[in-house]
Amino acid sequence: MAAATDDAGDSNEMIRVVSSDGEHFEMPEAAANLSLVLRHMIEDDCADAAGIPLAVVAAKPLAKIVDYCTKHAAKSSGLTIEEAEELKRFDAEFIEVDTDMLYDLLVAADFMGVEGLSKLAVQRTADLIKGKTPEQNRETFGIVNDFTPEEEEEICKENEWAFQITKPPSRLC
Amino acid sequence: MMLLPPAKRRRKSAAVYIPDDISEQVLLRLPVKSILRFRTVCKSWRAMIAEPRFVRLQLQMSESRRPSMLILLLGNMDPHGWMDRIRFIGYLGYGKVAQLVHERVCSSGVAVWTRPLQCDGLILAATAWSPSDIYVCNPATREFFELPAVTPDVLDGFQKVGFGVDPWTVEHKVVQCLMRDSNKDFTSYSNGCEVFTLGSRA
Repeated sequence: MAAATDDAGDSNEMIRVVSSDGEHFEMPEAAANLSLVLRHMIEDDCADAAGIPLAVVAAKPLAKIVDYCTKHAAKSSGLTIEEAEELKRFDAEFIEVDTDMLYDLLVAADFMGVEGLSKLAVQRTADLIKGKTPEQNRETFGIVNDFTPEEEEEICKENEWAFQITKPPSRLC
Repeated sequence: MMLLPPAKRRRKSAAVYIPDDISEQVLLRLPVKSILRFRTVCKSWRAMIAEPRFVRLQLQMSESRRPSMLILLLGNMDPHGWMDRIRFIGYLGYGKVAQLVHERVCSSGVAVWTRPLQCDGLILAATAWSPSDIYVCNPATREFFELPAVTPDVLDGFQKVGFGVDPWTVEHKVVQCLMRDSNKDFTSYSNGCEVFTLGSRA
C-alpha cells in the first residue's frame, strides 16, 4: 500500500490507527510520519484499512496525539513568524491538561516516538514538579519512599539550602 | 531502576507507570536546586542523579541556557568587612534584581585573587601569591573545595595555574607550574608542574 514517500507533505493518504481500547482514528500520512513508530510501519507496508494497532495507547491520549500530529504536519515546513507563533500558542494550550492526561501523553508520545510532543510533555511535567517537595513528588509519580528516615535526613543535610522552598510546603523533607 | 510496577500503585489517579528514561528526561529539565532535593524521593532517583551519564547530560542541557550567576571574588582591596570571600550572585535576567544567593568566606584571609578560571560551570579561584590557596567551586550546587597546599614557586611567587578537562579520563584537573629551586642568579634551576585531579563529580 502506502509506499515510503520522500515528500510526505504531498501525500493525501489517510492512515488509520487503533487504540488499545479498540477505537479507530484517522490522520493524514504526513501527520502519522511525525511518529517514528508509525512511520516505520508505513514504510514497511503495515498500514492497511484495518488500521495500525497501538497496543499500549488508549483512545483518550491517542485522540490528543492525532490532533497534535495533524496540526504540526500541516505546518511543518517554511513557517512564517506568525505561523510559528500560532503553533507555539497551540502547543501551550494543548498541554494544559490534568496530570493523568499529562502522564498518559508522556508515556504514549515516548512509545510512539513523537519527538516534539515528548519534549512538550516532559517540559510541562518538569514545570509542574520543580517547586514541589520530595513527598509531593512521590504522590504525583506514585513512588514509595524506600529510604529510612535516617538516610533521608542524611541526604537533606548534604544540600540543606535545596530544601528551603519559598512557597509554603506541607512537609519540607 | 524502576519506579513502581503498575500492579503496586497506591493511588488510582497516578494511573501511569513512568519509565525511567522519561523520569530522567523530566529531571534533566529541572533547576539544580530541585534535582538536589529530589534525591530524597527514592533510591532509584538518587542513583539516577548520581550517575556520570546524568551529570554529563545535565551539563549539556545547562550549557544551552543563559548563565544566571555572577561570581565576585573579594580581597583586601575591597571595602573593609567584605574581605576574603567569594560571593555568588544570582541574576535572572534583564530588569530583575540580582540577589546574593551564597557566600563563602575563605579561612586564611586573601589579599589579591588571580583572574578566576572556569570549566564546565566550575569556577577556580586562586590567590595571587604563591604558595597560593586554590578553591574550586560549583555555583550550581554551592559546593566548595579547597585544594591541598601547593609547592611554593621560587621565581616570582606569582601563581601560575591552569584548569581544564582531561579528554581521556573526563576528569577535571588543575595544573600548577612552578620553579622548584634555583641558584641566586637563576643560571641553574629546576621547573616543575603539579597536577590535581578533582573527583568526577567535583
